[in-house]
Amino acid sequence: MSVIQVWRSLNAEQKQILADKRIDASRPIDELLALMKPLAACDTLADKARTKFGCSFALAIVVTIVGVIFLLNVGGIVGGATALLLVAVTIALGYFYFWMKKIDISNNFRQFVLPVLSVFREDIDASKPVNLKLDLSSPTDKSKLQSESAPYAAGVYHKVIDSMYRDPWMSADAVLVDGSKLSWSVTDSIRERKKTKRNPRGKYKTKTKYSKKTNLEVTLRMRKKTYDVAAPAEAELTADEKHSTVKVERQVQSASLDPVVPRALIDLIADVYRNASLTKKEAGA
Amino acid sequence: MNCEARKGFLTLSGCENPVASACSNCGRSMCTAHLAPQTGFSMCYDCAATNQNVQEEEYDDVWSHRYRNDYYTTTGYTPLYSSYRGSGYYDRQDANSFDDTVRDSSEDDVDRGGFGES
Repeated sequence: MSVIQVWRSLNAEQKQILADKRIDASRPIDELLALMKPLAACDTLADKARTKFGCSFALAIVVTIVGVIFLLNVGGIVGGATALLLVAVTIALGYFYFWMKKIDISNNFRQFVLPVLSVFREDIDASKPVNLKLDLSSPTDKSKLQSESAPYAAGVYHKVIDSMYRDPWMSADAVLVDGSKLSWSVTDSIRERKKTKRNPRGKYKTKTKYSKKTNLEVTLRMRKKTYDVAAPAEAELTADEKHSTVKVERQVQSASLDPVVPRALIDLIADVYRNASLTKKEAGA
Repeated sequence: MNCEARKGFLTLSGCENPVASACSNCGRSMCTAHLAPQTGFSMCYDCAATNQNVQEEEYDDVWSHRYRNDYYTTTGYTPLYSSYRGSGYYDRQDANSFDDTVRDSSEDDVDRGGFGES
């Protein structure tokens, strides 16, 4: 199936999500996954096709420029028609390339959100809504820029500019089948470093490097009559009459913009359960 | 008879659905929701997950069962098992509280005697 066929099969809400690059939904887990899986399929195909279209578009520009110059010199109806055809093909390739860029959503969606929700699907109470907020736009979107350093020199680079971005791209809460309430959020802090140098041939070369810190925050509110809870290392445990609440955070650092691995969040939540045991009454039930 | 599948990842719990057929591999009784369509509904998801011939789709139930098996094996995570499945408002403890009341009132009858003793 082509990306266009898959995109056409999406409903209006799904197309709107791709246009807005944002999800703010409150619905049962199975409905949420049914909404999201076709988007992931579309994004997978669009990612693959975009690379092909991008290369073809670049090649078409070169061929068209050279071809048009040559054909106009040759002249005649055939030469003119062929030149027009080359221009039309290049415009079509460019149109599809930019359209696919427009519907592209963050890889966090396919490589983090969907696996996490799929793994926890049977832990989440199917009759209660999951509240999910996702920002699937680029992490280095201008709206997420927090600060930009003044240019400075470092080593061979005569101009270095550091830009800091903050991207709180996911927050969710859900009621689990054991009556616990789970909520989590994911926030990326990104440093974009643009370094410019002049090489021995006098050309200016600019490199852009990213480093990212992902903060994962989890709060799990568990029933006292179901669980005896001990706090995992570096977690905060509070309790009221009926519930124990565990808050735990983790930071994951990486040298690229690649999505954080789902395992980081799954481990964090599983650690809370590792430190919980069923109350005697529940275990004996 | 209920389905013998164990649902969940963080905690495991029983499935309340009625049995549709037995898994052709492990023989456990399963409901239709816990039989893998990729196997023509002949194998449960646990068996399908360990069978390399069964193809998974992106983040489908075979994938999530494979992930679960792998996670439990590599991390040593042991999920808590509870047989409780409920709507969320009343749980087993609430149900048990009625037993306590009955026992208390019957004990009251014994300890305090009755009209006959006065």
